[in-house]
Amino acid sequence: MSTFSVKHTTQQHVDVLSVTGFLDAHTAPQLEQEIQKYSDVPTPKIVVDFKELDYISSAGMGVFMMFIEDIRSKSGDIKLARMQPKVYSVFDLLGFPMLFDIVDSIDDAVVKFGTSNE
Amino acid sequence: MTSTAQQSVFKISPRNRFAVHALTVGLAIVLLCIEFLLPEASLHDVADGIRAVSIGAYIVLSLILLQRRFTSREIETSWTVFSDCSALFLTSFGLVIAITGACSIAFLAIPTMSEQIIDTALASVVPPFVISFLLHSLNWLDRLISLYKSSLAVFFRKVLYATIAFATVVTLLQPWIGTVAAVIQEYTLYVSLMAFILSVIKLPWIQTLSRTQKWKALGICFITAVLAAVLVGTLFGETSQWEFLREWMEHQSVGLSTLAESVLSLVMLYFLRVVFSLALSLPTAGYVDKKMKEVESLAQLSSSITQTRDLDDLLELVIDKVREVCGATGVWIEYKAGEKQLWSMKNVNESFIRRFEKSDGYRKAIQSIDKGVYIENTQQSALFKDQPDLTDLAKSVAGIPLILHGEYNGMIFALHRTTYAFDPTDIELLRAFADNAVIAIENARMLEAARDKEKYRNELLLARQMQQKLLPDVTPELKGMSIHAFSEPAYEVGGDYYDFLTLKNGNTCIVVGDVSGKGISAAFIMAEIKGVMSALASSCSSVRELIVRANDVLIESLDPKEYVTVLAAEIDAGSNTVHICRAGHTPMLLRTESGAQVLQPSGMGVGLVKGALFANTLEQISVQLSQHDACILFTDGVNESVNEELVEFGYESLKEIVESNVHDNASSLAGRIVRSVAEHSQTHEQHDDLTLVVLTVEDEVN
Repeated sequence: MSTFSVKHTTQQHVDVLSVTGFLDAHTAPQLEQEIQKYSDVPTPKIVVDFKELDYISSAGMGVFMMFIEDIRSKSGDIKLARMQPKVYSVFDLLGFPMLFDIVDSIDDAVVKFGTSNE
Repeated sequence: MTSTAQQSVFKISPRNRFAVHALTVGLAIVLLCIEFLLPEASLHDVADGIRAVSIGAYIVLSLILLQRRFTSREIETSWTVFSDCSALFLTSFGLVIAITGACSIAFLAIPTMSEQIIDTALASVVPPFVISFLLHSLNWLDRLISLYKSSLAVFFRKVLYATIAFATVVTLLQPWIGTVAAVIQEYTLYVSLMAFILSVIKLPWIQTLSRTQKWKALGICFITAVLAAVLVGTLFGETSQWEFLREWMEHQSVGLSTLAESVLSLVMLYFLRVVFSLALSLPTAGYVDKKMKEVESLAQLSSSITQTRDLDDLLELVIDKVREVCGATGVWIEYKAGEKQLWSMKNVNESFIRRFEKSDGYRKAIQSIDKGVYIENTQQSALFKDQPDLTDLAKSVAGIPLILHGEYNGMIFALHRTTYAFDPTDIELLRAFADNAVIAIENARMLEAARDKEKYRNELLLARQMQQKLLPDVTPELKGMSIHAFSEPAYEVGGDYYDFLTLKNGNTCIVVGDVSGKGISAAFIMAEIKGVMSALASSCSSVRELIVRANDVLIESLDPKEYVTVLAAEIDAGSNTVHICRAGHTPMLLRTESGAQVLQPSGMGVGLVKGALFANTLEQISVQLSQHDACILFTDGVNESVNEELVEFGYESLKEIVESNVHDNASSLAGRIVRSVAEHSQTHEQHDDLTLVVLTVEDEVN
């Protein structure tokens, strides 16, 4: 019933994962695999684009927690971009803004990666 | 072929069998008495009357007894009908010979007996047995013909019954209507003969007899046909020494005589016809036997299929049947059941199978999954070249595929120690066998799966009961306040949690939690939270401390992607104050005089981050409560419950209910909210656990 997909692009050496549809316990492993793929580099720089994501469940949010510690230890980061207000409020309730960099555009995220890197 | 346990519906019970013989002997005695006790001249008419009545009664009674059948549901086989009737017939005929002989000797031994008296005595004793012979033959004939059910046979039976009924009536009425009866004699005979000849064109029951049964049947039918021919000759022939018999019969009744003549002719014709058919079918009897055995084996397998539900038993049964049918020395089955591979074997050991699987012969079998493979002489075959360890044990190998709905499901392998062990009919039969077996195996497998599923369901229900026990069954009694809680998992078990704890300072603390994810994994974590919270509560002086310390414990045990959101309210009943902490959870709803508002102190979910970061971001706020105020703690199952159009219940609906029902106590307010949520999402299946705890301040306060 729920459809979910992840699309990968790169923008100035930053991996952009655009997620679409419903991210819940059933579809979370899909995203897990994708993030795994791009976090397996010396310094992972990942932006997750939430523009097309309609719904996220508690299990969906758990995915980001899986990788963040490992990625930051390699001085990389996962940045979350372009959330719909409803999705943002879910992240907000859980206190994610204190953990993750949540930005309004992909460019912002890419730029932030650039500055932090230099 | 004939199973002894099988009881035919046609079988005549031993009691009836005895009764018919007793009746026959009784009739002979009655007739003998009439002949000797009633003087000829004076009571001639009376004697005739009694004779006619006793014969009539005898015929009717015998027919009733012979027609009574067992109500057993087993299906008759032609051999049971044949052997049963022929036994009755032959004993009856034996009695005729024995009694006639005995009487003749007895009468001859008495010197004072005149020849005339002997004749009279014989004339009264013998005819009942002739009648008995007729009746039994008729009965036999009727049953044999009814084995082949066609409209013609049915018609013949009707004609036959009509003839018997007619002859019986005429027998009874003969003393009074003798001349009329004589007119119809010829007519009845010809009608029944014509109908009969037309009806015995086909004799399919002969084919169902085994070879030995055919030989026996041939003998019996030959004797019967000859006997009938002799009787026709003696009774109705022009020059007969047994003239007195015919005379007696005609004297007794023209109808009886007609009946005797027609029945004897029918018997003679029918059994001659059978003799010819049997003689013709004997040369092929062996082959037919084999075919019959094959069909029977198939039928037996099919019936075992419905009786055997256990998969292992069924595989064993199939193997046994395969061995029985083709005489294989070793058999094994490999069956693909989803991911698993099922094995069952007999007289073959596993190491042999492993070695066999590496041979070209096996590969060939697996490749020809549509038809299977048969290697008559493995030693000569290139497929088993230089593999004496295989070919010594298995000189003949057959692989029969198990195919269901056109899909390959596995294979039955049959081995034999000799070459050319299986003939083409064996292989043909095995193939038919395999088609039946695969359906049976698949059915058993599905049944087993269904049983497993049922077991799993029961386990889940048990888990649900266990989880219900983890939730408090009573709400705390607080002066001036009422509390009510409600919790319902979306599936059998869920990840929602609530509890009432007592802190170190004596304050009651309401805790509501929601574990990330759903189902069984969430349920385990829920149980863990319950344990951690209960253990910590009595040593914590504030709600904030409780949650911070719970985070410290849980972060170590939870998986990085797992977390719990918690909302806790510590109630200081003395000062009517509540201290609220929210760790990533859905905000609390507070109703005061000025309306309902959402309270969202900051705080991250439990299990996300460690120590200081968590503690520093966890805010505690305090609220002073007064009359009619209410606190609503809930999980997102309440506000996020959706209807068909995927519209959420939302905070606004919740606020509305809470604001417009100020005088409700906790229990009625909670009931109202739960009902509204249920109404909102009634057409949409609940996908999230739902928990709600309501606290209201009663009128009496202040």
